Formats: sequence, structure tokens, C-alpha cells
Amino acid sequence: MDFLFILPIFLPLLTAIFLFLNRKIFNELVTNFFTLNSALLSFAISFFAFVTFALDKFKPISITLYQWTRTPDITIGFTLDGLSGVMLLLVTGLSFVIQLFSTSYMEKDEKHSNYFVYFNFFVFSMLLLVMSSNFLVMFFGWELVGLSSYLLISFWSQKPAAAKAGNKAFVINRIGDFGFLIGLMIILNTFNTFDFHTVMQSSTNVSENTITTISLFLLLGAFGKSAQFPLFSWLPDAMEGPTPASALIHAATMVTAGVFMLVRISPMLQHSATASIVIISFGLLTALIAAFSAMNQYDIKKVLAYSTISQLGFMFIAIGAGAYVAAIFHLVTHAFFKALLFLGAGAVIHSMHHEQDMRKMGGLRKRMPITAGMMGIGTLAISGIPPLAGFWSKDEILASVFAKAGMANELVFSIMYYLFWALTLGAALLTAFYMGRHWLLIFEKDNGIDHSEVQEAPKAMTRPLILLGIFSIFIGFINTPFFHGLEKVLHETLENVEVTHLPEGIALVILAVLSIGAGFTGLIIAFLIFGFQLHKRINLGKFKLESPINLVKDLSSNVLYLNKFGNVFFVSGMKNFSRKVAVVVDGLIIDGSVNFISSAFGKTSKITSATQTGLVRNYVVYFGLFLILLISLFIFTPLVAQ
Amino acid sequence: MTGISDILGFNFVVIGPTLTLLATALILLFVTITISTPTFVKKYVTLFGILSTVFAVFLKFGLFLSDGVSSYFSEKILLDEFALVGNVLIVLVLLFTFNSFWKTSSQIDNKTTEALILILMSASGFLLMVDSENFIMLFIGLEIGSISLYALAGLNRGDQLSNEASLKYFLLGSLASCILIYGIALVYVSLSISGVYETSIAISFIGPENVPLTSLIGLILIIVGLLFKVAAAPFQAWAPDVYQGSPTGYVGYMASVAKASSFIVLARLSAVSLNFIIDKFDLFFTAVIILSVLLGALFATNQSDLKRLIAYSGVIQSGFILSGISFGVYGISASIFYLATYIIQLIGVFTIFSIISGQLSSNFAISNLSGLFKENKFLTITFSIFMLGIAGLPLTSGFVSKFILITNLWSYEKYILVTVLMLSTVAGFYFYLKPIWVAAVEKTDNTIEQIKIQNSDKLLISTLAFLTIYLGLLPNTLVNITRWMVENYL
Repeated sequence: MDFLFILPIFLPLLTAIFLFLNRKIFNELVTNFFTLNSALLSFAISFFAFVTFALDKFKPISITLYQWTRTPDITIGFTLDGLSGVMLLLVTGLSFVIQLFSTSYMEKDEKHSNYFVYFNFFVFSMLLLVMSSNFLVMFFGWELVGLSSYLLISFWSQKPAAAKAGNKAFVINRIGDFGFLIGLMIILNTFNTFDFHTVMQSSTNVSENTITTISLFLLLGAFGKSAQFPLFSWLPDAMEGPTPASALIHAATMVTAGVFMLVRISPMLQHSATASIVIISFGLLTALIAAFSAMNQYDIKKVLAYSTISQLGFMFIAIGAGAYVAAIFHLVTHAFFKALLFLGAGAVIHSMHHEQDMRKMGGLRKRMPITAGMMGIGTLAISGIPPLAGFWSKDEILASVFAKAGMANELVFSIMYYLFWALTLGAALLTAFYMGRHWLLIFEKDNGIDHSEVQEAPKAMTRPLILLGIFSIFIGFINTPFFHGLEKVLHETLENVEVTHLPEGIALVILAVLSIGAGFTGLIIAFLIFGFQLHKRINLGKFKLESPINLVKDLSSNVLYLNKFGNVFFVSGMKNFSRKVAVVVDGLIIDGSVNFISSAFGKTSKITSATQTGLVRNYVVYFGLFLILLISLFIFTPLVAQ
Repeated sequence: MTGISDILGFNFVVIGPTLTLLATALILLFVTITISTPTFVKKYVTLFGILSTVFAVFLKFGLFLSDGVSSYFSEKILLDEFALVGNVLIVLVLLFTFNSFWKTSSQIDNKTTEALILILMSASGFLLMVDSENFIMLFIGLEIGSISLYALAGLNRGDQLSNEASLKYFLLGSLASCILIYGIALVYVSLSISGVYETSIAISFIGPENVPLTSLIGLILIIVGLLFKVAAAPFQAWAPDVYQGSPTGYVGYMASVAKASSFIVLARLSAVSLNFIIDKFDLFFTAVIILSVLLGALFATNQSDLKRLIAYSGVIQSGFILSGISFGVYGISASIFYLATYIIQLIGVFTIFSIISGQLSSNFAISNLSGLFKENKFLTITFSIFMLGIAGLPLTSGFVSKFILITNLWSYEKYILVTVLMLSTVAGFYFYLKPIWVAAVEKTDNTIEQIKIQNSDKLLISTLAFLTIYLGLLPNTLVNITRWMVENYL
């Protein structure tokens, strides 16, 4: 039964092909029936495989489907270990829940069946990525999720914005993939294999510089896929796609591929101090920038997009601090509450007839009580309020950074990590603030707009929300300071890896209190401003706060002008540059030389062909002449050489 | 079996395949001159003869398992891995080309029997050639095989091109035979030996440094005689004319059987006779290889006749195969792999040509292919597979064979040779893709007349195409066989 876990990988592919072939025949009901049952079946098989695997004390299983060459080792193989097992459950489970939601959200859409084809294809690609036992298959999955993400972002391609967003995501991802590909080439050159296990085991024999080079190139790939600074601007634009697709791809699974990959290579990564510093600083920078940018967005989905980027930043911080378990833990909890938030937003958008501006909402709580309640749970969870899921994982990350500071052997590093911890705490506070604002703006703040026509979302939408809400509350208990469940699951995967552990005793309590405090503070500030309307109630008098607040608002809504800077500097600059390159280098030099070679080859060919006269006497002469030439070559070369 | 051998005084199993083919040819001859036989009898007698030959080759494997590498008939006939693989290759060529040479023969009025006998005799000659330990036996086998091929080329007497091809092949072939026998004589004069193993022993006895120049030149002449048969440049001039002129149905057999046996003999020479002095021949082989791939690519670029194009591509392939044979034991195994896969593609291509333009035709212009895709998708797709295989596109066996050859050369640090071979592959894509373009992509108004494919042809072509893809994806089996072949010569 070892091969059982292969089935859920290929089931979505088969479903996608099946639905694609029958897209003209099936109506919505039949399509829904097949796709939901297939998703449920693949989750059930995954669950069963995972339980079998757990009963076997989490011993990794590897299966080689096909070996192309032995040296260099190029294989198509899959593995089920703690890491891929967790991802398998996560992807198949969320895929089912979100497809259930989609059946209602995509109702009466013209391309209903196409949506599910793409969706299933995405699930297949994602599973290929996470279940692979070597870098090559992972790269296949890596590229295919990029493709299916592109297809889903520009799903409504009649909208110019959607088509443009799809292109942007694709192009920016290409930059990351380019780095990933170079990393793979160096890996193949250094280790002569793609297999994770072999590479990780032999990574101790390789110099730290090589490891750092490989890690940094792979990191570029992770930055692209996981939308980290400076390659993050595609994710907010990607919100043009259907909301349930965003929930799965751009919140729960695909964007976490970078985090997954870094944890996968953690046995190698831990040997490179440089890479760790790069990861933690870029993660922190991303977390702060994205959290800051989320503060003044008015699009209901864009807030969530920036929030996703920011939370991914948290995961990178955890990896940089060596807390790989915490990173995966946050990945799991985040997947649930962010999927919940996205689906909730989807329900709101659906009920508001595709209105996404939060300024036109407000006071929806009475109209949509279930959605409001569930999104409230999501908001509390992401803000880190105990005992909801987000608290446990975020607290673990914060505590790990703190512990890392204590472990540093030089004072400079120690101070640096304490600084990182403080800034991370700040980002957590910002998270609570903008998420509180998000919820209050949608459901609480009275804008004086009449919403009497708005109705609660249909049951096919609210049920997934309730399910995810329950998970968002309880999923955190899989890995608490009192019960290290996830750590046990990941034990085999992270064998020989030095994982940063939480501090003990009173320090942990203080850290927990601080992180809870940050969450509450953020929420309270949000409530004071958007719920209690504090600035209207008290008269600040001579304090002129208007201009600094406007400055902050301006910077936030323009994402610190990073996009515009990028546009002017890279896009326009590159356009001019590449135009020049196209004319001079490509047109004159490359084309010229290629054309010259080919025409010269053709001419030579014509001239030499003339020697093929068809006359036997000529052939005999060639024969004799060349024979004499070759023999003399043979006789005289030893004399020349000596 | 040993009992019979003892009574007869010689082991007939070791020349079993040759004898079987000979017997089949004689039966055909006697039956047809005495009684008028219906054609289907001839067909089944031939087929039965070939299948018996397959069985005889099996018996040889049994003999090899019990005796190992051994020689018979007072060191005239050798049973070793090369002989076995050579036998298998030749028998497979006979089996795979049976369909097309039978149809060609049945179309030649009054000469069906002659054609079949010529083919069977030539195969028996080439079998003798790959079995030979003595150079004289090698010469005799080569002549038996070649003379039948000369006649085969001119069998379509009504076609002027066919006559011309036959005469050219004969004249140039006899020149090559002269050179071969002269080389054998030179070796015999200087070392008083004429055997494959004897040469190696003599060289190790007198020391590689003291080998007389006459015997070295003799060895070179022997090699040149064989290089002529595989159409390596600069001895390639006959190949395009002969391929173009001969009846299309025969070319697949003619080209592949001569190549297979000559390369097996060359491989044995390199692995056994020359193993102490192979580095002396480095420059000679390098020159031949570079000339082959360069001239082949230059000539092929400008061809409008597909049969000539395949002939020149054969020159390039000969260069590739030589590049393995002359550099190291693993190179030899890579070469045999290349040879096997190339023969499969070659037979496939010529079977398709003979179906499209008729078995007896001589010219086959590229424009004959236009509109093929509309008329027959099966032929177009398999034709593309074979051409891409010869070109060396990944996922086909052609890529794997080129890959292992070039990695072997790389490990010998022959960077110039690697570069030249790679460049010729690149140039090759131009003329390999051109026919595919004409057949499949180019828009055209002229329609090919109705093509009828028999089921046997369909089966044969799809088997060959399947092998081409299969060996590209899972080459391990064949690679292991070729590795096994050279294991003892490390």
C-alpha cells in the first residue's frame, strides 16, 4: 500500500482531463458532481495514506516511477514524509472545501467547466511540487503551478486588468524561476543528482560558498513564488482572478511553495549563515512593507493580498531564524484562516453583486451574520488572539527569533536578532490593526448606505466558511508549547537539522504576553479609529495631525511608491535598453553572423557538391588521393611529434 | 550435438547460420529450375530459411555459453561476443527488411528467385565475415556478401540508373577489395600472420614501439577497405549514386547489412588486434571522422533527392560510429548501440520510401513527399519519428546514442572532436527537418496518389518506430547488452 499516496497526485489531473474532454457535454451539475467527488476521494485517500504513514512512526516512503539515467541521476520520483504529508493533507483538504464554495460562486459563469479544469490542474501541479522526491519533479510542479495560476488570474480575460495581472504574475515569476533554474543547474553540477535525500546528505561535504550560492539562487525562486520583496507586486494584482481561486492559490497553497521549498532544503540551508541572514532580513522587510501597505487599501481583496504577503514574510522570518517547524506551522494555520478570510470576502462580494470597494460596504453584520461571525474568527486568528490558531504559530515565530538572539555567539548578531524580534512584533501589531480595520469597515462602520437588499450568502458558501472557522479556532492545538505534534511529524524530515527551539519557562510566558498584547493593541486601535470614531469625538485642538496622517495614508495606498519606482526604473528603462539591444546586438551582430554562416555553408555546399560528378574515374582519383593523403598523415605525424 | 560434430570432424553449429542461409538459397535454386513453383512457395521457403537462421543463431549462443570465446576450423572461424552480436544484427536486418525485399523481388519478372538467392547469399557472406578470425576469411566473407550486393543493385535492368549504380558499385567495390587484400598481404609479409588474435599477440611480443611500418600500413589498408563498405568519408563517393540508383526496396537491406557487418569487424579489430597500438591511429581516425561529418553535412545540405540525402546522412553516422570505435572500450559499446539504433531508423525510412514511390523506383525527390500528411497520417508521423531519430532529437534513440558517444569522447578529452560532432548535428537538423516540413507542414495543392499499406508493413513500421522511441526512453537494456559485449576487452 506504499504507493497509495501517488493516487491523490494524479486524480486531479485525470479529473481535469476528463472535464476538459467533456466540457461541451456536461452541464454545471454534472461538472460539480465529478469535481467534488474526485476532490473528496483524493482527500480521503490522502488522509488514509497519512494515517498509515503516521502509524508507521512517520518513516518516509519514497517511490521511483521512472529513472531516465543513473549518472547523472535523473529520476521521476515521489516521497511521503512528514513535510509532504502535511502539505498533501492541506492541499487536498482545502481543495475540496474551496471547490465546494466555488460551485456556488462560479454558478452561471460562462466558463464554469473551464474553471474547474484549471482548478484541478492547479491541484495536480501543486501536489507534484510538494510530493516530489527530487528537485526536477519539484521544478515541473513549480512551473506548472505558475502556469495554472496564470490561467486562473486571467480567467476573466475579457477584462483588460485581469489579462494584464496574469501577464505581470507570469513575468515576475519568471525572474524567480530563472534563479531557481540556475540553482538546479549548480546542484546537478555539484552533486550529480537531483534527489533531495542524497543532496542533503552530501551537502556537508561541500564548501559553504557553494551552499550559499545554491541557496541564494533557490531563494530567488522562493522570493518570486512566495511574493517577497522585491518580487511581491504581482500578488495584489493577482486578485483579479476568481476569489475562491485566490483563496487556494494566492493565500493557502501556491504562494507558500517558496516556504515549503526552503524547509525542504533546510538541511543544506542551515550550513549557510549568509543565506539565513538574507532570508530573515528580506522576510522582515516584506512583512513590514506589506503590513504598512495594507493599512490604507479600500479593495476588500487587496487588503487580504497584502496581508498574505506580510504573513509570508513572517514565515520567511521563521526560516531565517532556523525555526523551520514554526514556519510550517504558520503555513498551516495561515492556510486555514486566510482561506477563511478570502472565502468570506468572496461571500461578501457575491452578496454585494461584485462590489469590492469597502467604502461602499459597512454595517453588513446584521445582513450577513454567519459570514461576519466567521470572518471575525479569521480576523481574531490572524491577529494572534489566543486560543485561536494564529496565536500559537505567530507566537512561536516571535519566540524563536527571540531565542535565536539568545543563541547568537557575537554581540552584534545578538543585538541584530533582538532588533528583528522587536520589528516582527511591530509587524504583528500592524497586522492586528489592518485586519481589525478590514472587518470593521465591512461589517461595522455605518456609511449611511442602504444595504437592505443584501442577503446572507447561500449555504454552499456558508458551510465551507463554518468548517474553516472551526479549523481556524482549533488547528493551532497541533503544535503548542505543551504538545509538540507537528514537530514530531516533521522529525524525520528535519533530521540532522538544528531547529531553533522556544525559550523555556518565564521568558516564554513574557513573550506570549507581549505578542498577545501586540494583537490586542492593534485591534483596539483599529476599533478606536474605525469603530468608536475616536478622531471625531475628541478635539485634538492645536495638534495638527492632518498632514502626517495623510502622508502615511498616501504612502500606504501607493505601497511606498515601490511599484511606480519599479515601473520607471525597470520597465521603461529595460524597454529602451532592450530596444537598442534588439536593433544593434540582435539585428546586426547575431542575425548577421548567423545569416553569414548559413549562406557561407550553403555556398560551400554547392561548391563541394560539384565534385560529386557521377563519373567513376573521378571517384577512383579521389579514392587514391585521399588514401595517399591519409597514409602520409599516418607516417609523418610521429616524426613531427617527436 | 558434440557427437555429430565429432563424426563430421568439424563443429557445424558455429557456422550454422551461414549454412542455413546457403541451404535455403540452394533449395530455392534447385526447386525453381526444376519445377515451376508458385510465388507463395518461394516466399515461405525464404521466410522459413530466415527463421531457421534465427534458430541457428540461438544455437550459437548455447555454444558460446558452454565454450566461451573459442576458435574453430584451425583458427579460421571465431566465436566471440562480436560475432554473436554481428549475427544477431544481420539476422534482424534480414527479418526487418524481408517485407520490402520480398515485395521488390516479386515485382521483378522472371528474376524473383535470383533476387532472393542473391540476398540470402549476401547475408551468408556477411555472417561469415563477422565470424572470421583469419583476415583471408574476412576477405572471402566480404566478397561473397559484396558481389551479391553489386548484382542486387542492378537487378532492375530496365532502369538505366540501376545499371549505372550496379556498375559503379562493382568498380569501386573491387578497388576497395584490392586495397583490403593488399593490406592483408602487407601484414602477412611483415609479421607472417593473418589472424585477429595473432596480430595482437605478435604486436605485444615485439613491443608496440617496434612494429614495422609495413604492417602498420597494412593494417591501415585493411581498415580503409572496411571504411569503404561503411561509406565513411573520404571513401563515400559511391554511396549516394548507388543508393539513388538501386531499387528502393533493396536499399534498406543493402545499406544496413554492409554497415552492420563492417562495423562489427572494425570494432573487433580495434578491441582485439590493435588494442596495444590504437593510439598510433588516433590522428588517422580523427581525420576520417572529421571528414565524414563535415563532407556528409556539406553534401547533404544541397540534396533534393531523399535517397541521396540519406546516403550522405549515412556518411555522417559512420563518422559518429567511428568516433566510438576508435576511442576506448566503452566507446565501442556506445558505437554498437548507435549502430543498432541507426539501422532500425534506416530500415524504417527506406521501408516508407518504398511504400510511397514503389519498390522498384530509383529517384525519390523530396517534393514527392508534399501532401503526404493529408493522404496518410500514419506514414508521416512514423517518417518524422525516424528522421528525428537520425537527427538525434531527445526522446528518440538517436539522442541517447549520440549522448553516450559524446560523453565517452568527452572523458577522453577529445574536445575538438566533440565540437565538430555537435556542430554537424546542428547542421543536420536543417536537412533532416526539411523533408518533414515538406511532408507535414508545407501547404500544397498537389495530392499524392492513393497509398495502400499492407498490414504487415504497418506492423513493421510501427514496431520500428516504437523501438526508436522505446530505446530513447528506456535505453538501459540495449546499453547493458553492448556493455556485456565489451566487458572482456577492458
